[in-house]
Amino acid sequence: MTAIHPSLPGLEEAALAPMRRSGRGYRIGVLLLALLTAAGIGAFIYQFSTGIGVTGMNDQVFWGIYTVDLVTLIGFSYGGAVVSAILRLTNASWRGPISRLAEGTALATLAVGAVFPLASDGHPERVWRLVTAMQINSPIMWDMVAIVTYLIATIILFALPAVADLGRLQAAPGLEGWRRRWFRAGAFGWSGTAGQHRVLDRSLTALAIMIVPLAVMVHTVLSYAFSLTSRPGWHSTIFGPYFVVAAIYSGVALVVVVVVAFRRIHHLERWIPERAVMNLGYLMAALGVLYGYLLFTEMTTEGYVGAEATERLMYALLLDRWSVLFWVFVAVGLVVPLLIIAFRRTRTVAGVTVAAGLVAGALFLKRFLMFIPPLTEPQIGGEIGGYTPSWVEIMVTVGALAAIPLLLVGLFKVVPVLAVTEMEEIAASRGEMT
Amino acid sequence: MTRWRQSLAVLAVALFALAGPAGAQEPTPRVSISLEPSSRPELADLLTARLTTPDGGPISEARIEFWIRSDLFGERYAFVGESPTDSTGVARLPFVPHLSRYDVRVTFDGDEVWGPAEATAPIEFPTDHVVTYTATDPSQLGSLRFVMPRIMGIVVGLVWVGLFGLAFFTLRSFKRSGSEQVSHD
Repeated sequence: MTAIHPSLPGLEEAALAPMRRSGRGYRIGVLLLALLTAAGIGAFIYQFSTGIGVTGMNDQVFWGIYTVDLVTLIGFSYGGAVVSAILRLTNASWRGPISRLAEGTALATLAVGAVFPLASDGHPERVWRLVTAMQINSPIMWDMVAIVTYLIATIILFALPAVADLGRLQAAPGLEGWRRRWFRAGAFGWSGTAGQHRVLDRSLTALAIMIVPLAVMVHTVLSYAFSLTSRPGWHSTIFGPYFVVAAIYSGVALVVVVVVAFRRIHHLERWIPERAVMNLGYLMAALGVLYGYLLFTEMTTEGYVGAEATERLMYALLLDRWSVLFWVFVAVGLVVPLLIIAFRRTRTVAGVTVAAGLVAGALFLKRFLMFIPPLTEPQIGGEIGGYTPSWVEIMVTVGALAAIPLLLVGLFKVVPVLAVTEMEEIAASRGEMT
Repeated sequence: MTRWRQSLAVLAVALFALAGPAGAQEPTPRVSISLEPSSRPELADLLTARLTTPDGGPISEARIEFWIRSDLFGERYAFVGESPTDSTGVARLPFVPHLSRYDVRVTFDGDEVWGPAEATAPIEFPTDHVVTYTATDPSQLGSLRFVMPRIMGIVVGLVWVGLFGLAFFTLRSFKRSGSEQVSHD
């Protein structure tokens, strides 16, 4: 059997660009990220040794910013995985240059996010009891099962095409020493035959079909940890789809930021065309409209009935003590990004990146508003609770956020940043090979 | 001399009168417990406590507390309610039994006239008055509590097998078909 796709000139070099020795500014940036990550790990160790009393959580607000981090980061990962899977299933030709970055973003955010259930625990050293003292009727247990299952699927989604690229590039010029040995070992015998391409294509299609419902399941189960309680603001039938849409919305936004950052830093403009960024921007805008609709539906249905406790919470959110944060979210997370993408003048790579950055940040704020205000509302007695994250929680959060780009930088030091095999396949099918 | 004796006697009586009330203890009343079953099963039975003087006279307007023995949060007497005694010295507390027998304690903390008193007695309730709790499940979905997590466990297990199997067989296929002829035109 013969193969296969001739190479696109310059693609190999571009795919290996992050592996080359980088400039001083880049190294300083990476060092800063490493320091912040180390500080976050240090704060976590301090919390572990001192006890969870060093956080701002209390009897009333028993879930704090760590829960916000967990849901936000897993939401980010969802966007990366689903973008890659859906674009593959719909055979979108522009997916090639962004799929590796999207899958890498999914993996890095999920790996970091999965740590947060431990940070929320008073005794993380007892996590093994989730297995030995399993409560199979508990949503928390199924949360963990769903996250682990999704992590396995995301690793495989990232790894299989990466294996093909390791094989494809093992003889690439400029690849030396341990890296060449790693590429050879990680290739699993990939030599680019037609049979291998066929197997890879079928496997990735099957995986893409699996990962979409898996991701929906993960976020729905995650929402159950809240919506299966009778707390006003949480007990809502809309929470499942609300979580899923918020996850894709914020995830696509983060993919835009990551794609544009790598595109600019490693000069990949030729390979990641403006069209790919714009299409991601349109996808993000469509999801923003959908999320706005869900928000409107939630507010009107809950508000119309006007149950006493819910009404109190809604008043606090819309007009009282949480209203500034709420309306900032509406403006920054929904209105401004849509306006940026709506107008031709602002609909540029820079504009879409700004919009995506705003969405990613605003969705973090939205998760805070979803979880914390309902906890401050009194269930027993009349005293309103309060919550301010402690320096430990802020440091752990900052460390985690710094760990994501650091992981991506590390990941693309050992794996090509562009899905070379996939890009060549797409180019061949479109007759673009030279 | 007689006047001197009379003065001492008056002083002694005065001192006794002054010291007497402070030093004397209030008399302890008697309290007993009984049950006034309701005439109809759907009405609550009445736990009754009769508070009387040592010679059997009624003590009215006294606050009586009713307790039942419980093992919730450790063995103890749990407070169930309070009621004042009427002109016959009887305090009544409506009580819906969930068991046929309770150890009931009634207490009177005492007042400025009477000292504290308490009594404990087992009270048997008519069997047809006992209200037993049964778990309600109008939607009949409660039975899924057992089945659903297990089905989910099987589904998750199958998904894991599918994922690992997919990865394994893909990588094995890479190895096997790696020896085919390749060309980069």
